[in-house]
Amino acid sequence: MLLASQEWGHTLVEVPYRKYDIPTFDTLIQRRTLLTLGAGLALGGCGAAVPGLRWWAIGALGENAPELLPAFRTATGVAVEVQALPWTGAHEKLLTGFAGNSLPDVMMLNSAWLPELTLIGAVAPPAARSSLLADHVAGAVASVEVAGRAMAVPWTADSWVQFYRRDLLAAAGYAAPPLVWSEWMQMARAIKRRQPDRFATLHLLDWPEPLFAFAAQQGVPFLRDHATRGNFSSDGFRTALGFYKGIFDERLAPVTTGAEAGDTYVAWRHGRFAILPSNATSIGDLRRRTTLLPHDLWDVALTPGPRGAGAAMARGTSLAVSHAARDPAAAWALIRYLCDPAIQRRVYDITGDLPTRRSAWRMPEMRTNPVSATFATQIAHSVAPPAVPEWERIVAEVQLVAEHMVRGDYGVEAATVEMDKRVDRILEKRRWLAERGRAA
Amino acid sequence: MTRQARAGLGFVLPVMIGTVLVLVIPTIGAALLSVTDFDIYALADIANLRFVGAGNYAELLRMPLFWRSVANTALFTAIGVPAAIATSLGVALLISSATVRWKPVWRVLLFAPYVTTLVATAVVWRYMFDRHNGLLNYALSLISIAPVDWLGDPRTSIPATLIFIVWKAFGYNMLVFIAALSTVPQELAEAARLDGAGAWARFRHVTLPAIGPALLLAAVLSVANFIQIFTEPYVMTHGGPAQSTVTVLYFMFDQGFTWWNLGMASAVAMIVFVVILLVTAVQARLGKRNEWW
Repeated sequence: MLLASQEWGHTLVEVPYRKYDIPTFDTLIQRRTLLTLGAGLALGGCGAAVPGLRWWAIGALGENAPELLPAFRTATGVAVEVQALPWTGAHEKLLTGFAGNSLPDVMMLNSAWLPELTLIGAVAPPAARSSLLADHVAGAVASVEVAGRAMAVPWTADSWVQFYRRDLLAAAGYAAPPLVWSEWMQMARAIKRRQPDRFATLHLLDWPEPLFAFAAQQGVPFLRDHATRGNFSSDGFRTALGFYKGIFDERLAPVTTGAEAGDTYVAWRHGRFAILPSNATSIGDLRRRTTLLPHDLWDVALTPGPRGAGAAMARGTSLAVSHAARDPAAAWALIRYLCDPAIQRRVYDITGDLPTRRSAWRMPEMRTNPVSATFATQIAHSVAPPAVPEWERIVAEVQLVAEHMVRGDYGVEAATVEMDKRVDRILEKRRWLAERGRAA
Repeated sequence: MTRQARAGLGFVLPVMIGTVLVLVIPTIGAALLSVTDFDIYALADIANLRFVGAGNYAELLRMPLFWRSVANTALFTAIGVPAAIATSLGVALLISSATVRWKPVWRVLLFAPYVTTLVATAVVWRYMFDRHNGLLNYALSLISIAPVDWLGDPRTSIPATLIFIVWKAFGYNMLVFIAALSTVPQELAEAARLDGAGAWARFRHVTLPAIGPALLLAAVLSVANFIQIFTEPYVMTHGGPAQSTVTVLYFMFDQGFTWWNLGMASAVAMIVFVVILLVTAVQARLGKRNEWW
């Protein structure tokens, strides 16, 4: 009873970048994902018999990937079979796929997973001076590098900005959210004063992005001792955590997680909160829901910082050839096609995911559209996560402690000590390897 | 070996081979893994594997989240098993009552949740539990009770999940009980009635002893199932809020497949294995003493 349907569990809540993104009605029931996964399972048994390339793509990009492929087929004659994975299950599926020797030829990845996948030898890197690595925006290539070597090709760029309701901010006397922490808090209080049963912003407690954005602005590394210990009790991180906690203490954001939030956009439309911090996923989501949220109702602004527009964590996806690719030349051809500026530009039109190619940014509308232009600025001011295989787990663990802190189980000081304790335990194996000179 | 013994062996052998291949060998494998620190580094290079002896078990006993998951699972089991069995038995008694018409229709309707897809029903229940638009809070509002954040409050998340689990699972035991109730000799009940036994006395001294074995079987299976709760919290709450619905198996899944700490996950699996073995042994012994087998 309890075990039979485990594999379906992955497909239920489609939340990009693991559990961290926006829950919506669309994403709660992913019929297409279910169907695609079902087909994938059915084909799994006879994978070797399927001709052409196999490609695992994730989230909204995965669902819309088939739209991109006919031109590739016409040009090369190579058939591509896409399997769409939900963000919640993709990381597990890649590791399990490696262990079970069933990885596809081409994989779409959250670039932050590259250190881990490089460690186990799941990816075949592009040639060192490949033209695929040229013409990218600043930081994009760095985001796919592990120990100085690019292991994949950047495909989409992303960061973390504020989506805000113009009308609700105007009612509180603001044209746009201020970008300095103290002024931002003034604005949030003003919104709260107008309607005490509502909130200024939404920081879902299972989203690590807001906290890590505030922390990234401090200029203090997250890890120390050659990335073998946590650095979360540093003054910088404590400042960020204090600011984060203050937002909840003053009830400027609801104490809630994504699993129970219902449809975020409906709640935003109803004015339950005025500012939705989010990433490029929301560009696509909002385009699909113009009837709910007409474009003149909202705008975007940079992430606030202690002394003005602040940094956020760099995010983004990349495309990699797996170690098990049967036809590497065809696999690289597919990546070259998908990373072409014109295709990246088209991806932006379809899903809202932003390009990494400079020439794609020079195409119509990219720099002139205020939304994508704001994202471009934020992406240029983003901080790359430390390239250690344990990073995903560290983020999850730190955010869990932060959630407990918000719910009153820890003070700021105690929370940072607990974070370091947990992170040090996660990094124990890394220290052991480092002592023997074997750490990746 | 007699001809009879050979024939017996021939019948048993296929099952024995299957059991050894899919049960005994993996269990031994998990036991071996549980004394190593098999993780992502070991997956990369087996030279990075360390033998840690009882280290994983010691570490588990020190981990607050493990104890949290044990406490959550114990709570699920302690409330869930009696609730599930009482619901199944109550409904079975109602359906078996001589005054109920359309019995097959009722049976099908009440059994339907058990055979519907778990994830699909979980999604529907998530909407029912919704704080703002949910049916449950709407019903509560009719009797002037303030809305409850069912899945969002760490204090109500387990009861809310349990409501769903009981609703989903009671049908199976209900069928078992209906079958058992149909074997209760009517003459005994009538004789007891003539002797002046009331409804409760007839249930306690006639019906209950007769369905004892079925009850025990249901209890053993339910406890074993509840200890292995995973999918429901995974789908409904992702273990949240504040890890209030992380069960032992959810913890094991997270360790094993999300973070690829297979050594640690295997240690959890071995603990669950031993616990279920113990629970079953205790219940079997209890049943023997009451001569229910």
